[in-house]
Amino acid sequence: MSEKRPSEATSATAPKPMPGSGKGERREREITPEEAKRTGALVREVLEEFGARVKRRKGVLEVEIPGEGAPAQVDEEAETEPDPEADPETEAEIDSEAEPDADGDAEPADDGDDEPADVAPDAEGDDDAEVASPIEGPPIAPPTPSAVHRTAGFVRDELARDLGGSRALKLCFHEDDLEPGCDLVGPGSFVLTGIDRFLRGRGRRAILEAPKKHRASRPKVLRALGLADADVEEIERSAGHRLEAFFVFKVGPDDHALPQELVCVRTLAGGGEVRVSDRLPLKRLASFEDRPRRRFPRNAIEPLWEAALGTVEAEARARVAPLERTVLEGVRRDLARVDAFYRAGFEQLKRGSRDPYGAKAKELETEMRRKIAELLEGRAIRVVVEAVQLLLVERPTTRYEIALRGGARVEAAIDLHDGTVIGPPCASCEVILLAAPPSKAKASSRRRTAGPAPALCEAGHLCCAACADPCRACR
Amino acid sequence: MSTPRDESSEPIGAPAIKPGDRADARALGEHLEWLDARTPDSPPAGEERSRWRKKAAEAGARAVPGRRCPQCGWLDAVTRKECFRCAKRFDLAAEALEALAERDLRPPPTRVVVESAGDLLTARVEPFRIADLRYRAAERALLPGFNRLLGLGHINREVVQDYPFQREAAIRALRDMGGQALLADETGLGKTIEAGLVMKELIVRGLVRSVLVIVPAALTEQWREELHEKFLEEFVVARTEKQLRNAERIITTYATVRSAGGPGRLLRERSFDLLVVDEAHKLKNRATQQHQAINRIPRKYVLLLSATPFHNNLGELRSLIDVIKPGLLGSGRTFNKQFVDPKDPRRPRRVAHLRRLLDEVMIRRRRTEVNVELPPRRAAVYHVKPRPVEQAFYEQLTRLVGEEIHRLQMMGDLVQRTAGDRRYSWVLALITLQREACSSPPAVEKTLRKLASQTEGSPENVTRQLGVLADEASRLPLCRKAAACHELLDGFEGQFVIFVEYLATADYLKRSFEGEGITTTVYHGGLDDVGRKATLDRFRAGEARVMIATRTGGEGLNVQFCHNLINYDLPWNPMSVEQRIGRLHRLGQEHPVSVFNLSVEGTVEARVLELLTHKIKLFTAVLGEVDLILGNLHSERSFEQILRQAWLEGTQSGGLDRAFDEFGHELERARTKYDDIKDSESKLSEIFEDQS
Repeated sequence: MSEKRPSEATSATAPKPMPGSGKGERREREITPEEAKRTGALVREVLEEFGARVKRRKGVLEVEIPGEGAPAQVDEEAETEPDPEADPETEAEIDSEAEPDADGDAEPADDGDDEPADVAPDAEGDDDAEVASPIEGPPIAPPTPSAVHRTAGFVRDELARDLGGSRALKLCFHEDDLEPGCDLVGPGSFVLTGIDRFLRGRGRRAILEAPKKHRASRPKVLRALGLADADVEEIERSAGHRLEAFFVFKVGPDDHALPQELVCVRTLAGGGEVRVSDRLPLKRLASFEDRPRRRFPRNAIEPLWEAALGTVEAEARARVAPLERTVLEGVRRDLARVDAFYRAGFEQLKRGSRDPYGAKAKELETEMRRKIAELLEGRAIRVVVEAVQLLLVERPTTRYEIALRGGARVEAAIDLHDGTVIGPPCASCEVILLAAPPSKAKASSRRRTAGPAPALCEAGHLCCAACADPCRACR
Repeated sequence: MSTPRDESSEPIGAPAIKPGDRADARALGEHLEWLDARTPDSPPAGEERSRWRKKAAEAGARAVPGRRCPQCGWLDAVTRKECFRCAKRFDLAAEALEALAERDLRPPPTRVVVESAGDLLTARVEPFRIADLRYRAAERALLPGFNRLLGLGHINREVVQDYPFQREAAIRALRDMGGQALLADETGLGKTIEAGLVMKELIVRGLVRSVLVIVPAALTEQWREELHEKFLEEFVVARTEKQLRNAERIITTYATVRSAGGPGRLLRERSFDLLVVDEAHKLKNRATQQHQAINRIPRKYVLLLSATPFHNNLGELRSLIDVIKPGLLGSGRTFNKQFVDPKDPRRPRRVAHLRRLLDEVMIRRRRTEVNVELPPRRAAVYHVKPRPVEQAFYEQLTRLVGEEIHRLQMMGDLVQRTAGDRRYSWVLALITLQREACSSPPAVEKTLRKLASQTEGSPENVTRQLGVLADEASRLPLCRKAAACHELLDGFEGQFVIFVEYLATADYLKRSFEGEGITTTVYHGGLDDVGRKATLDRFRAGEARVMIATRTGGEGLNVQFCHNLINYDLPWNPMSVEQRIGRLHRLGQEHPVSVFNLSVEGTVEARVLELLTHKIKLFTAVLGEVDLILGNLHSERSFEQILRQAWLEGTQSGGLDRAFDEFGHELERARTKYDDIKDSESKLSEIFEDQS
């Protein structure tokens, strides 16, 4: 790997002016200022995260990737200018998860008057008492300084290799900032390709904890389950969690007939629809607590994965539908050609052969069928879905075990992040009974979150209203 | 004027020639020799003919059936998307489904393949900030950056005839392959244009500044001219360390790169933004110094060009791919095990899988796929004999040149002299004299007088002889070559473009033609843009029947409305001849193109024409074959330099015929080698062509 960029003699040479590229002349631009800003911020963050020294001068980043053994330090003297690009995420994200009433609006304090009279008062008082989650990974011993440096050195070597082998770079992100010796980083640039390659094995899994934005409340739960008037004997309460998984996939046909795209699939344990979007809600996720030491058993994640897989496969098929049409047009042409070819062969057999419909004709027929089968197989579309990332969000919940007089027991929980009440599966059809947070949510949002409305059948089984009379459990 | 006609060599369908004084011409042995003109789809000669016939029969049998438009009744191919007459659109997709249903078949499947699943669920958990970077990087990397070519606005569109399939290749190489690709289109489809488009796009977008182009020695000048003329980029053919160190746009040779000394070492230490390697099949053996030297050059983007990326076994293809994307095809052992037929190392296995892998780095199309069709071109050599007075003059000049060469030889080895050596400059001047003598009396007279006036360092008798010859040249009648032009103009209809090397010859011919009432215009390097445009417009409008073009004037010329060309003077660079023909034989040409070459017996030019015609088969080669053949010459010099050397050695030793014969054998060997490796193209096509 070369240590330096091409010699100073060449970097001192200004780029040769091209026709129509002089100042003041109109020229097509491919990189918008906004795009340049986002790209610049990303590249800088990656470089600094993995040990490079970055100095910013107007629109240019001067990068030095220290060699192995050199400690990765931030060169504080280099930061001479405030960085107006500190917050690159200026545009609002389309957050498919955004519940209009969920951000920052706490549930009003529960009014004790609403509680059913025969429910024993909660000896512990507020349902929001903190209960520690049982899931915690073993503590990770802090690495020794030499190990840090050695590891960091290898990482820096890898970074330099993926960026074309050079340890000193000058990067700009918009054509207006191009100067001698500078590499323009735009779509298709080796820098972006190299960074993508460098990060490929990194950052594939992260675990976050969603903040509590709602309070646990037995009356709310009972109301949501339609048990407000039920004869409740006892309610037990415990802390729990609910996993929300964001899977990021890269989807596209393997022959690049259509561009590859990132698809984000969000699944939620304990019910809730699986949602597909084009972008991760990074801003929202960034506000959650990072929990890199958390661990979850694989069997907790696999159902989420299965649900996401089914969805992304369907999504992938939907996205290549335009391509299927093009393929069929090609099939039409191929069939016409094959038909004509073998028809000529059949006619020749008829004319010249003493056995016009005998063995030779059958052979030709078999060959034609085989050719067509090969042709169709050759036109098969292969869509590649590459699993890129998994972000797990632990949503705190409070679980309730409700004993009804008569012996029926109902398990439910309340999601303390979005206030959803999660009921048990319907005794008849097994669909999870859900109730959206009340009142402040938009109707459309409540419809999206809620499952079928719960109802008790005569025997005390909790079902959706449609299944209650009679429910399968009774039968 | 006599118009000779050689009935024995005239193909069927050749235009009629007016009867003339055939008896005299035949007695002299003058004749028009039509060459076995071949286009990619026309029948070859000899034993290939029966194979071609069978192929043609198959092609004919593959003709698509017709159908009548239900709206207007127009009969057209069943595969058309809309009716030619009434524009009714046909739903081919629905028709395909119907046709398949009739045969009880299902449409091609869409298969979804999930990758990297297993290790996602067990991947290491990292801080969210790393995951955030990972996601944003993946997003940025997928940004559609090359959906259109901005560089098209910065190339010479008057000269570059870029087809849609070439633009598609450039976009694919940039967008889908990250500017790291093997361009492996079939011969003649313009890989150079595709590479140029990619290069220009990267330059225009500011992604690339320094470019290194590695080519066989015989093609350095051709590349330099093309990159300059078509893509408006100035490249240096670098040989010295200083050039290699300082220049940003460099063309160099394989030998320079692999040299252990200064230039090679320098190239390996420098890094380049873009590396272009032509005739990349020379990297087929990973164990060679050449492969290792080139593979070690640090670069951001790389383009390999080769129509034949493997010759003897598929492992050679893997060696090339390893330069672009190491490990894509696995190690040698796993590659052979997975993808190579154990019985035939050139036959692939698991073709579908191999094709998918190669699709990541390789672009390969055939001529039949891209519908590039040009009318045929045919070539002829008009063999004429010089008039006695011309012959005497030529022999006198040749004797003087020979004596001078011999005198200079006594003063030291001439062949190894560099261009800066004054004696070598004198030698070049003498070569030019011979060539001008083959052109026209005014051309040679001008140079004779100029050399006669430069007395320093030359013996007095030489100066005197030069003056005498100049006087004799001024008294020569219309030269036989010019008369031959008149005969061709009489014998063939339509407009003509006549290429000459010397402006004096252009004026000479113009006077001669206009004396016979033939309207003529001259297109030369001395004209400004307005003058050139006016000249061309006049010719296009039919106001002149003949346009005479000099070499510099011919650059950038597009005259596909004309279909007759005379190579009055022949450049010693076959690629220049090819480019001349390309001025007429290009997209937009509607008629078969006739190329006439003039061979005056006994002249050095006749010998050169013989080499180009029968050794390289320049005029009958399939487009693009010639540079492949020249690439097989084992020399670091260009074709012109080798020819000049052969002439010099022959003149020194008095064995000019032998010198040219030896060079001719070398060209035959290069051609034979090309024919051997051409077969590998069909093997490559097996991997990529449609199963039907």
